Amino acid sequence: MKRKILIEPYEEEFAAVNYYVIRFKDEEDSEFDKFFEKFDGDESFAESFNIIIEWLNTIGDEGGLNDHLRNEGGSLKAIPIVTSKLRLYCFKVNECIIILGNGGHKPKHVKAYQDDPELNKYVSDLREAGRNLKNRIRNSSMASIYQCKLYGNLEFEIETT
Amino acid sequence: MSKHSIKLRAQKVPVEIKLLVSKSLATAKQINKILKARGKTQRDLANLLGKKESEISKWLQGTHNFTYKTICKIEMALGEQIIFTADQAIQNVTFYRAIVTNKTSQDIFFNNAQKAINLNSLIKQKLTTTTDNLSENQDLRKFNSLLESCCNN
Repeated sequence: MKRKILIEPYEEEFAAVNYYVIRFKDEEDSEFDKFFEKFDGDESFAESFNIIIEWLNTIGDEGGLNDHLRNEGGSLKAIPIVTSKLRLYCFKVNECIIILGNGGHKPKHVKAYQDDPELNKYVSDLREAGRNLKNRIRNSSMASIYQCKLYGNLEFEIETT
Repeated sequence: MSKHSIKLRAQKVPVEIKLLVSKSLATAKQINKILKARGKTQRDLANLLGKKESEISKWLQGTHNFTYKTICKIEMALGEQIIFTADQAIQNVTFYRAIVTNKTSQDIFFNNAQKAINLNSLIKQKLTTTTDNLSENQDLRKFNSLLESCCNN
């Protein structure tokens, strides 16, 4: 199934990093909003969620996208909470721009996101959006990066399940 | 437009989690900084510690829950101290304050610098737990208290 997806700036500004989020055009909430709503206030994930928020807040102001993200393959990253039950998936555009996707519970028996249909879908949607963005920046003048911000047409059609 | 605020939510993060993230990042940054300063790579550190490079890479992302044992092994491998206690940090501040405020401190500066070099050498020589090291630390401590009183006067 093909769906339209938008890459939008995250509302808040940070000193070192510009966060972006992805949102399906026919939905109100971004994927990051969905992650936030799903886990904020859930006692069983309180510590993991708090770590992710503090991580975003700190990295946002201090930088460190080159060093402090968990590698999931190419530009695909995760907030690297190696001892955490949660993963938040991200797509790194460059050293100061990152797109936040959705994420979820990664139990110990799940070795990689590919083994979990839900996590796999989140990653696949985010990766498609990110790839499309990079291709558009590389191959056309419809989108560009200037001073750590994305400009132009940031709407894409992706294949999703 | 995002419905949720990272900054507002971060205000509710418990202090111990803030400290955990801050210290984990600081430790990883410090190790990365030493590696860069010495022209070494993560692979070099992996070889020195007998670990896989992928494991070292995870450590240096800033999320590894380091034990003191691991920290000590890394300090030995790099030949440099990574984590300082508040007391040790005060010693360093005193050391620099002496340079700035005391005109007669040139001798003190070189003397203290020599002490610092000696301490680093001890780490390099893998003598961190010997009595020599202990007495060296005590010497430095005594020296710094003298320095402190000197600056205060």
